[in-house]
Formats: sequence, C-alpha cells, structure tokens
Amino acid sequence: MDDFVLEMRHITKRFSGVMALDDVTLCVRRGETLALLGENGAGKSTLMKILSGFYPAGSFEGEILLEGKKKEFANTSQSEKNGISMIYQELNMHNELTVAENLFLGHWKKNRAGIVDWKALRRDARQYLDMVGLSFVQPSVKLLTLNPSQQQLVAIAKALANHPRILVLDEPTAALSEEESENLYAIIHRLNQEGITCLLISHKLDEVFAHSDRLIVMRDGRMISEHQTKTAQVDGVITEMIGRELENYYPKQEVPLGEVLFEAQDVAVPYPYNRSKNIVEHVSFQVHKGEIFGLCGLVGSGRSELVNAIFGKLPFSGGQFKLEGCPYFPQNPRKAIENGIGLVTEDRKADGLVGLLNIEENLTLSSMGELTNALGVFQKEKERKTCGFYFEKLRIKAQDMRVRVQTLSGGNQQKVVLGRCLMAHPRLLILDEPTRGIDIGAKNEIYKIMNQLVAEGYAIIMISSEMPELLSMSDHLLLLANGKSLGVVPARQYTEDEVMKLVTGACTLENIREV
Amino acid sequence: MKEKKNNRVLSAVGHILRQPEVSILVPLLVLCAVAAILNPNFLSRSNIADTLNYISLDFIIAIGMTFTIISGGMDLSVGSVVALSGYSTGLALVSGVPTLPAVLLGLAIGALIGFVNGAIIVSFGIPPFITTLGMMYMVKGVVNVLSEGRPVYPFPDAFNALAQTRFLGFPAPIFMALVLLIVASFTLRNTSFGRSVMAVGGNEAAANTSGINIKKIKILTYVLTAMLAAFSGILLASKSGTATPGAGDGYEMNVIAAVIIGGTSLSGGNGSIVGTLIGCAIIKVLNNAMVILSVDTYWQNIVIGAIIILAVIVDTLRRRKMLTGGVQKAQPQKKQSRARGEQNG
Repeated sequence: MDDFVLEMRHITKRFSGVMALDDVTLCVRRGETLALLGENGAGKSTLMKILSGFYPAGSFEGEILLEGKKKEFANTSQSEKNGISMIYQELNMHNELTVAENLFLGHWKKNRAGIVDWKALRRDARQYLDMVGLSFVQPSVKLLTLNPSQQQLVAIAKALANHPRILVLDEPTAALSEEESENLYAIIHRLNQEGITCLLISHKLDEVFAHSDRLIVMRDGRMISEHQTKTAQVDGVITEMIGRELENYYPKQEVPLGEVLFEAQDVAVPYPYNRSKNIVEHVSFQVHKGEIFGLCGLVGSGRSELVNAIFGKLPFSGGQFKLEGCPYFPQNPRKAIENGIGLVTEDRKADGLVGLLNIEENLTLSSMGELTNALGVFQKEKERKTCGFYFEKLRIKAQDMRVRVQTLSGGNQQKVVLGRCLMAHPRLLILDEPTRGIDIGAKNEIYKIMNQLVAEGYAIIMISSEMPELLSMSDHLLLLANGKSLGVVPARQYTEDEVMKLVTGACTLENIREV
Repeated sequence: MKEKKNNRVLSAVGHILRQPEVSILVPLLVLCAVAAILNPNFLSRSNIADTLNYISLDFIIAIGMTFTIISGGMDLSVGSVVALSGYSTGLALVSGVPTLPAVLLGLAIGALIGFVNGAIIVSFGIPPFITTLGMMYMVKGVVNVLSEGRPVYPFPDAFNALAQTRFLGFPAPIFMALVLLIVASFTLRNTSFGRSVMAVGGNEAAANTSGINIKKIKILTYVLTAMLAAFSGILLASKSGTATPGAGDGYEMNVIAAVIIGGTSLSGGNGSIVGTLIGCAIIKVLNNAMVILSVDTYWQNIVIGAIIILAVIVDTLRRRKMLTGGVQKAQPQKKQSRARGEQNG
C-alpha cells in the first residue's frame, strides 16, 4: 500500500469551453520530490492552481484527497491551512513591506493587547531566512532592497513558514544563479527527509533529472506518462512532452527569400526592471523579405524583451539595428511604426487593444494620420473602406465593425490587433505569441494569414512558446538560452527534441549530434 | 402570457434606459416637472433664461473636463483659473487695454496654466489629482496677491456686451455653449484627437503600442480644459460687469460632479459631451428648484452630495454589467427554467 499524502482524482477543468485539464489523476507519496514536466500550456500550472484553491472547489470536476480524506478548498487560505504552500512563478509579495512582514503576511504574531509583536516576528523571520541561506539579510529591510534571486528565496522561506506538508515550486530557480539553485535543492532534499513532499515544475530538465524522485509528463491538459527519475531517459521524456500529430496542422508555404530587410548586430537588452543587467547579449541575426523568422527560447529567455527593444518599447544597451541597410534607432513605438515596424504584443488585453472602443476604432489607432484630413477629422468613407478591407481580409467574425472588441473571442481580438498593425503599412511585422489563448481553428487562420503576408513581401519575426508551431512556420530560428544567443539555424535542421535540448541548456550546438 | 408581454416591455424599457444619455435625461425631466408643479415660476421666461445661462457657464468648463476625465486625468484647478483669467482680463480692461487683446490675455493665461499642469503630469508622472490640487492653490494665491481682495470694475460696454447681449431673449453664452457642444461632440467622435483621448484613457499601454503620442494628448486635454475655464471666467466677468477674486470658488467640484453624473466614467476611456450637458443641467436645475422652493442652502449641499454618490454608484453598476455582459445575458434564461421547474414540481 502506497503512502499517498495527496491524491488528485479525475480532475477536469475548462476555461470558457477550452479544455485545460482533461481527467488528470495525480498521486503523490510522502516525502518525495515529484516533477511535473510539459510545455507551456500543458496544464501544469492550472493543476497546481486547483490544488492551491486559486480555482475553488466547484469550478472544476474531480476530487482532492489529503492523506485519504476528501478536501474542498474554497480559497487559497483554506488550502494553506491544510499544509499546502505554493511558490508561484510570479512573486506574490509586497515590495514596500519588510522581509519579516512579507514572511508572515496574514498571520502576524500578536500579543495579548492585539498589537503585533514585532520582536517575535523578526526573531521567527531570522530562523526561516537562515533556512534558505539568507543569513546575511536583515528581517527589517524592505523587500524591494533585495535582488530578484534573494526575493525568490524569501518567497521560499515564506512558504516554509507555513509549515507545509506539501510544497509546490513553480519554476523556483528561474531567477536564481547556479549556486543559489544548488542551495535551494539542498533545502528541498532536507525537507524530503523531514517528510515534506515537494511538487516541482521546471523547464530546466538538467535540474529536474538531478533532483527529483519521480517525473510526470503532461501534454495538452492530459497526463502522458510517469517515470522513476533514476531510470528515465531524457530523450524519451522530451518526445513525450512535445509529441503530437503534425500533418497539415501548420500550413507552411515556402516563399523564396528576398533581400535582407532587418538586421541586428551584437545587440544586448537589459532586464526591464533592472537596467544594469542584461537579459540577452550578443544577439545577431538577419531577417529577409518573405521570411518568417522564429525566436526560440523559454519564457524568461529575453525573447519578448528583444522584440520590445526593436519596437522601441524598451531600451537596448548595446549593438545596433539596421533596416534595409540603414541604421535604425528605435526611440518609441511611434517612431517604430513610422519606420514600418508593427508589433502584435504578447498580451493583447494588456497592451494590444482598447477594450471600450469598437473594432473600427481599434483598427484605426495606428494609422489615424492617414485616415484624417489636415484638421484631424476622419474621412468617413476612406475610414470605412480601409477598415472594411482588413475586416474582410482577416475574416474577423463579428456582426459589424461597431462591436466593442472586449466582447470578441480571443482569436478575433488577435485579428483586430493584427489588422491595426497591418493598416499602418509595416515592412516588418513582429508577432509575440500570436496564437496564445486562441482555439485551434483560429490558430490555423492566423497561420494562413502569415503565409499570405510573407507571400506579399512582408517579413515576420515570430515568438512562440509552442515549439511545433515555431519549427513548422519559421524559415530560420534564433536560439536563445541562458541569456545568450546560440546563433541562427535553419528551422528544419533540428528536431523538436534537439531544439528543446538546446534551449534548456541540456546540450550545445557543438555536441548535440554526438549524443 | 401576461408575464411574457410584461417582460418584453420591460426589456425594451431597459434597453432605452441603458443608453447612458437617456438614463440621465429622465431624472432631469422629472426634476423639471416637479419644480414646475411646485412653483409655476420655474417655467417663467426669465427663470429659464437665467438657469440656462448658468448651465452654459458651467458646461463650457465641463466640456474640457470631460476630455480630461476620458483621457484618465482630472483637473482641480479650473475654479482658480476662472478667477485668475476673469480677474486679469478685468485688470487689463480697466488699465485701458482694448477688449479683444484683454480677452486673448485671459485665454492665454488659461492655456499656460493648462500646459504647466499637463507638462508636470507627463514629465514627472505625478498623479493629476495632486498636480492640479497644487495648481489650484497656487493660482488662487496669485489672484489674491493681484487683487488684495478687491474686485475690479467698471468694464467698457464692448466687453460687457460679450455675455449680456441677448438673442431672442436669451443671453449670448447660451448660444456659445451650443456651438461648443456641437464642436466638442464632433471632436470627440470624429477626429484623431478625440479617438486618441479615448484610447489613452481606455488603455494607455495599448495606445502607446499603437503609436499614439500619449504625452502630447494628455497635455492638450489640460490646455483645452484650462482655456475653456478661462473663457468661462471671462464670460462670468462680462455677465456681472465686475471681476471678483472669489469668482469660480468651488466650480471644480460642480463641474466634475456634472461630468460624472453625465455618465463619463472616472476611470476614463469613455464618456459623452451631451451627457455632461445634462449633468450640468441636473445640478443647476436642482439648485434653482431648491432656491425657488426656498430650501435651506445647507440642505442643498446635502442633496447635491447624495446625487454625486448616486451617479457614481450607477456608473459602477453599469461598468460591472458591461464587463460581465455575456454572463448576464445567460442568467435570465436560467431563472426562467428554474421557474418552470418549480411550476412542474
């Protein structure tokens, strides 16, 4: 009889019709470290959010058993009380509060008068900070004075302060240096020995293979396989992570490449919130007319930062860009658009669309100069004609162009953003996760539009976390790993497994064929 | 059957009521009707002309405020601008400056204050509330230094004619406000400036990504607001034949309240000039009605305050409805089926 500390049985979760988890069953033994593997969007984080009560009982099907007893969590604090602690990818802490305050947020020790006992708070904080190797950090300093990796360790200390039975770590080492990561895994081993179970989500396969007891592979919201880490093969696991029928799912059309349109020479881009450190360095590549150029790397590899620098939304700290041979200095998005660069951003709701405006109004936002007369008054006929053209061309599904974009589906919203960019006559179109969160039919339509665009002579830079999409649609790939460019390779030269190995740092371009 | 018919009527009425302008026109009409019934004087020609005149002076400022609030901003300094512009135009007039340059001086002062407001807000990222609050005190201070508390008068007839001329028995500011209403509504809906203002207020990050010059748009809204406030201040001086340092006191709150009551959302992104006009009318008619009915001034404040809160509650509910639009549509069906189930049981 297995000693299961946690069982999640037949979990199914839908997001407005899209199946995020499909009948997933997960059993976890006491004191083990279980790694959940899968591509972005495989459902790992969703599963963990169900466990944490972020998605409350009732919003999904299936049941959760803790040490054999059925539990229903209405919110995250109930799950915490049951000994489940989460460390999310995005830090959930308050910069303006002190380290000690953050550690015990929500359950500060109080004395008999109901006043917070700061002395005890700091003393307890000391203990947990020491546990994660932050003995040099004063509990009374504000969180914002710590660097990202120290903040990550504070988050872990915070989770430990809850005395968890189960500790969930979602990409815990993303912001940590190698040494800090090793230190963290040493802590995890110690916790295991004390009987605490760890659930680990990480893209870094080398770490997962070095430090977990058991592996579970997820794909498209389903449980694919289970391995003992000792006996698991890296290649086999990677194939399971990405494996799926391709066929004509990606309707890539070969277009003869034209001359060089855009060039990046030895570019470096700093972290958005820490200008003194570069997130990517030594990036050089060329994009030709008629080409789809893929940026390949994991989340946090600097892909988005790189394209935002090209678009003038972020500064770049070194190197130079060239457009059709002329030096190009992106100062702000306005200048970028004037230079014929269009960006479809990663998160259309955050910075792609104005939800309160209708389709037509959103389409015009980047090309108002062209559609208005000298007084800035819209030329109604021209406006309707131009918008109507893209409305038809992109096959936006809506009653008419007067529909507010916030009521549209994700795929149609994406098309509106694309239409807005196209209306400004770009030469180079940057698509950051163009198919994120949209259904398969709409994805296929976006691919067809991309084909059509490159056939018309546009150049496209595409970022995607979906490996198959990136490999199938691109002509060339820029590989980004560990903040460095591994170089540009033809997209068909490597298999998905190989690309995955490269961007996770499991091997290098030199030794990939030897393995 | 009866229920079904009722439902259809209700949904039709609901649809009309959901149009923001209509939903506040109804209370305005009710308010007028009540006032007229309680005191027939309310409908006298002179009272109508007077009330419309006051509405116009407020509305001219509120037009600019509507643009500012739609763009996600706020301007508390308009009341002080009314005082300073009116007063400096008055000073210029009594020291012999002809009417036109004096008026232009007042407008230029307004434009300058608006520009400083906007420039501080976009350059340093200081919240508009704080910046314009500071400006409100500073400008008020300047007025007091200039005037030492004394009003200026008399003005030449040419200047007084500006607001005192009557067409068809109605004072000129009413017609000026009408022209501005048309121009401003058109600007908001049909020009790149208007659309940029809505985009900046609706989603600043998306507006930036779209290549809209956010800083320029924001500064322009503050310049516009302050210039219109200056214009209103000049009209006020012309109307009363004197410029007092106390002119415009508390206008900012009246004007902001009118904009909010008119359905423009405080969080920006959407709004309507016609709505703002109705909002100004509601406040002034309420004031006027309470004066006619000789309601205590203190009670008037209580009523106005309550109405502002009510307007914001309505705005919040409307927004919530918009966000969950799809879900709400599905709900009535559920209720029906539940009702049917009960009947069957």
